[in-house]
Amino acid sequence: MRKISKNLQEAIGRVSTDSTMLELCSLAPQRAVDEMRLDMSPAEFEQLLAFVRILRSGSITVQSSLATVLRSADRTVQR
Amino acid sequence: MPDVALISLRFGRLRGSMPPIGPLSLVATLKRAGISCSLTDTQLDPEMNQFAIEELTGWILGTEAPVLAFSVFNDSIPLLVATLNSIGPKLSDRRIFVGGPGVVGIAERLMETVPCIGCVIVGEGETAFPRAIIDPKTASALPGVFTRDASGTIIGSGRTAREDLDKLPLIDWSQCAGKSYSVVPWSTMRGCPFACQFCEIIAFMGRTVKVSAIPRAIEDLERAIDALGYRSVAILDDTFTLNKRRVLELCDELSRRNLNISFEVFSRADTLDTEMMTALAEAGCCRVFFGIDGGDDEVLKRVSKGLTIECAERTMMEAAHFFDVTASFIWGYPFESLEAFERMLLLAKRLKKHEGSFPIWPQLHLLSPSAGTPLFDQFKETLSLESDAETLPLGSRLSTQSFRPSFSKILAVIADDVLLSAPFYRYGTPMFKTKSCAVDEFNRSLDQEIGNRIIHELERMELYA
Repeated sequence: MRKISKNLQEAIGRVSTDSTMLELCSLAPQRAVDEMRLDMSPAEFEQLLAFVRILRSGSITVQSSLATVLRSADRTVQR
Repeated sequence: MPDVALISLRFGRLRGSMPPIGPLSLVATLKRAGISCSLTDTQLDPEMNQFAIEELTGWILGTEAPVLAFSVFNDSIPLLVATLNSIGPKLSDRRIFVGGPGVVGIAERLMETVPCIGCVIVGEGETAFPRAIIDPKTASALPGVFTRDASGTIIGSGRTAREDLDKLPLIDWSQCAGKSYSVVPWSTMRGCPFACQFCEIIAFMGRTVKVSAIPRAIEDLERAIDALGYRSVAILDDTFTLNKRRVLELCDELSRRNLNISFEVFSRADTLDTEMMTALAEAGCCRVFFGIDGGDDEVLKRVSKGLTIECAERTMMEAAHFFDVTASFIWGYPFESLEAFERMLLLAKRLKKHEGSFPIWPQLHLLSPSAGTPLFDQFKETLSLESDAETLPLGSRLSTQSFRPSFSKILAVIADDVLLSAPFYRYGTPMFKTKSCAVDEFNRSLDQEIGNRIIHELERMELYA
């Protein structure tokens, strides 16, 4: 299994659960990384963008196991 | 051309996975009253958000319906205010209605601020809304219906009378088929008997719980599944597990009908026992959301939660043997000491580390101010707007929205009126900066775990090479 840095894991977790971050990654990726306060290498940055493309395509939302993970982590829930 | 164009103003990517059940129920009652209605769900448009004045303007001016109605949550109020006030003169020949959970506590102020709004309905709208369209004069005497009299003075008070759920028409789910939804919303009851001081549901519905008869609730679910074609269900009842006998009967019926669904519910830790957990898991429950709302008994007492941490922790640990658990905490109360906050954080960490059959996912939410709540009335003087404070969680930092074209116009509305924009503010709380940094650190570790799971799942599905 490929080794993925903590930074990239965190970035992917964050864009998955925060719609503003997802939009920022699409519009101005470097700013999104700045907002997330992540120190990423160019390679990690490219990997993050590849993930954002998958997320924007909507292909992961149909997978129930992932959808459960995402809903569990959804920060938009406010009581 | 429909008689009514109803726009459901909701935001947040994940909530967009399910059709808006409240507006759909309104469409059904309008139809029964002989009123045709189109429904627009803003969540289906990826370009829509709380700052999208141009997009909302396009939708409003794109319909010629003589009645425009908006179902809102409180975080969409600044967008509605800015948009309607920018195009008000163009809407002089329309009747404009606003309702939904977001108007609680702000009806009069909203009408004062937005002159083109003719009516605000506070509370359930199935009876009041059609009547206000057909017969505005008698409707204006109903509780919860805010209108203007002949002199332009705003009149109205309270909230609408509670609905009998079994007398409402069933929702026509076919209008949602073929759209990008993936979860079936299911409502079997409305209301909550508890009196948590941060929650607006009492002002919205009072403390009486109204339930659907089980055969009717099941019929509604079956119709939804047949029309939509997916079997992931979110039960939206505020406290689904309130009545043990009813939960067991419902689970029994779900199992008997072999609907092959997976579903998730909201619960309270003191309303769920082993027998219910077993029945829920057998019926297909895959996740339970617990609103714990504090990590310290004194804090829970101050907000009238009526729950102890010991009970909450014990129930969640047991629930994690049956299904995924979401443990939702609120931090940032005006009376929350740093010690109380740290006890909450320790509990969240304990829960996250818990190794049951299923994971426990803690969520730490900064207290969101809501008009119409006891907490808002008592502590509104402490509210502040910090658009770019580094210590705010990302979701609360207005500055992260500044790339949006209409940001400055929405920010002006927010800065101008705290009552209409309450969720964009935060209460004063002791040691805010220290707490915020701790939450940020906790969320980073959670993000790493979530990101790791997602990557592995994508690799397994060969979507991420």
